[in-house]
Amino acid sequence: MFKAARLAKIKEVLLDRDQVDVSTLSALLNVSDVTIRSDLEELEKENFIVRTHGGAVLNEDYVKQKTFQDNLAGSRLEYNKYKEYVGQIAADMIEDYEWVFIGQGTTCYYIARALVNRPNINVVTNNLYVAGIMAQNLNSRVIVTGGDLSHNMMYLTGDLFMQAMGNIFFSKAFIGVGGVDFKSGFTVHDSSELYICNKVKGISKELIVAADYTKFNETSFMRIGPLNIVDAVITNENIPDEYKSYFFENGVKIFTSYKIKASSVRGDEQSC
Amino acid sequence: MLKVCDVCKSYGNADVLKNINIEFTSGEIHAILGGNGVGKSTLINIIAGIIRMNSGSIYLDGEKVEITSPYEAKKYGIAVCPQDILIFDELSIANNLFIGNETTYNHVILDREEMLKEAGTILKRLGINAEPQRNAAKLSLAEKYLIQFARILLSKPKIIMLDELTDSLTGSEKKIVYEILNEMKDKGVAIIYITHQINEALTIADKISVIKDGKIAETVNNREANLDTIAGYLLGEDVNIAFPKLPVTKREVLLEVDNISNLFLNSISFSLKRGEMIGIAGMVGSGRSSLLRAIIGLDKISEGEIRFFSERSTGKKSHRRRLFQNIGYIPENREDQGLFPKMSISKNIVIRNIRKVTRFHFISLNKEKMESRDMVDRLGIKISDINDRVFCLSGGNKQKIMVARCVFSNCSIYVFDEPTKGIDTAGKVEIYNIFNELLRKGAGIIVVSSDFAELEGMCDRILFIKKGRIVAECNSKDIGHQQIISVLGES
Repeated sequence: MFKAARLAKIKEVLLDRDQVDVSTLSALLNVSDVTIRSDLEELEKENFIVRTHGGAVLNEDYVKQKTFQDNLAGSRLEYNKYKEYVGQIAADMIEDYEWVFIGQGTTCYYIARALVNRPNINVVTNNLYVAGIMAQNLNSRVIVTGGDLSHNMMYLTGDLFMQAMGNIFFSKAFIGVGGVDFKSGFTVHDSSELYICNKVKGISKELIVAADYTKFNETSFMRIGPLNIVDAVITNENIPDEYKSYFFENGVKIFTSYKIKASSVRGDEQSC
Repeated sequence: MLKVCDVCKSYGNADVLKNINIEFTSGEIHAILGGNGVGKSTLINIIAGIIRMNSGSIYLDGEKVEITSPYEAKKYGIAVCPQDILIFDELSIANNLFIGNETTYNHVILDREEMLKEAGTILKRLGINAEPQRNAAKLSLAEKYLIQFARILLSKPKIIMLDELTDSLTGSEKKIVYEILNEMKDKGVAIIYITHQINEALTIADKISVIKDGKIAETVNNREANLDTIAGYLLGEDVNIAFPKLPVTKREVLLEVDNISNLFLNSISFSLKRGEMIGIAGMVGSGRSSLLRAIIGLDKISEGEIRFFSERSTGKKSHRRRLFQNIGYIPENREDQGLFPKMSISKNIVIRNIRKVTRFHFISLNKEKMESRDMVDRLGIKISDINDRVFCLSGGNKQKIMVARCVFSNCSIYVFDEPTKGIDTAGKVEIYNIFNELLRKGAGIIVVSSDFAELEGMCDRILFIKKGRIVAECNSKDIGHQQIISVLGES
């Protein structure tokens, strides 16, 4: 077992039962006591635990604090590589100094993640995950709208949100949706999401839907509009072919992800 | 006089002609216009019995005829002057003229003197200054075309079909051809004139038909037509197609073409950056394919230089070799020039960089499979098994295999000739997004295409090539369809 995996496992055990001794861990992970001790030393440096004689105790204050931060920065969201691909393409569509809106949903969180190292980015968002991650980009301008918090999804909505949208315009707006289907069009989970989408649609030059492949042929609760209502769709390449040709022929730019390694197009590495 | 009804022709999945209905009248010059690859040549090759149609019928003077071979076509009085040169270099000019139509005594013995005499008259009429008994090899390209043209006149046909005859002719030579055509017309011959130059069609034709997407888009009388209306038919109504162009940041220069010239090219210079896509627009024979061939090293260049820059150019290997290793060429004719149709998918992918799957001088089949599976996954190629042969895949997937092969051998410059020809819509979308992906990861792309919308939609810059020269260059953002046609159309 590698060190990183071991550390993760130890953390898991500690979170579960607050304290643990070295011998239990070494038996569990099938490594020597010495290895476990060095691992625990590392975790202590991180402030995750306090070491005791023959074992370790969870540093509760620290862990609680960390949980708050993680919630805000979105690192507790489950990693999804398909959403990450979509986010990276979306980030490439954003040009320097243009004002963009990044809406609710985890796919939108990945757009922000791909923007962390880009300078000169201007973002308006109602998604607290996006705000949390954009906080790491010191060369960006970020405006967070006000509004009522949707607790499980961490986005803002309601009257205050509408007020914030009063006098502004975007060159591009990215929104996440719950379903994409020929029959039902684009659909979202609830009325407040629909509310946000409709408002943003009116004040942006390009409305762009970011949806990974799992959203296709699915129908959610409320309808934003037919499939040709948006200007562009970003998704993965494994969506059904009919969608690709439909979007292409109906004036919707369809972007799909591929996974070519950057190193393989660098050139001049052949050994023959 | 000649009526073509519901003619269809398809190659594999790609429909070239879809229910063509057209009628040709004697004593009329009927021009057929259309972009490259819309099926103009296919149509006349069907009438001439060179290609068999899938369905449909042909009526001659009201009677249904089956034309199954060029010989039969000739019996019906149909003569075709093809796009390629069919001249026997080692035979005399006179023999070339009379081949298949020899003057004889009693149908047995050749009347050489008579043929020489008549050939002399014909040469004079065509304005060619040469002795009829001379070898044809010494004729110029234009003169060869004229000889070919005169050859079909000797068979006294009722229907003449000319396929882009005047492309390589100069003004005075064209004038002679036009004069002769008008004479033939007055004698009651039906003339089918294929061209892609609108102006030419307007000059000589009585009727003009436009072929688009394998169908006759419109047939008009010359009197009612002008440049704009015809150009309109050629482009078709505005379909609301959205090309997924990603604005990728351009980085350092990758390739620099500096003043290269050879037989077909005339001091061409441009540079390609990482993340940039350059389109090359031009008609067939403008030198666009020659340019590609020069870039990838198939044709020699007599002057100028092609320079390649890379992040880690160590200078160890020879310059040219390094250059060509880094250029991935995806030809127009994938089946013949690119893929090995009867080999497995995995072999087709690794073949360009076989070293990568070789261990101790042996090809490791395991490694081959692993690496090619990885490429198939990365490029989303839809296959059932990695050991399947390539020929049973669709056009789009074949194209992706070509790209996979180049990605596998770490190419950084991709040269595409007609990348979406014969590929269905969904496949096109996939190819365009693969362009985006290659650009995002730092490759540079050069594309030659006859589909102007595609060039306009996907490229950052477009170079216009005519007679081996770059005649114009523009940002694809500031150009419309109409402009592309007009830049290429003016001669």
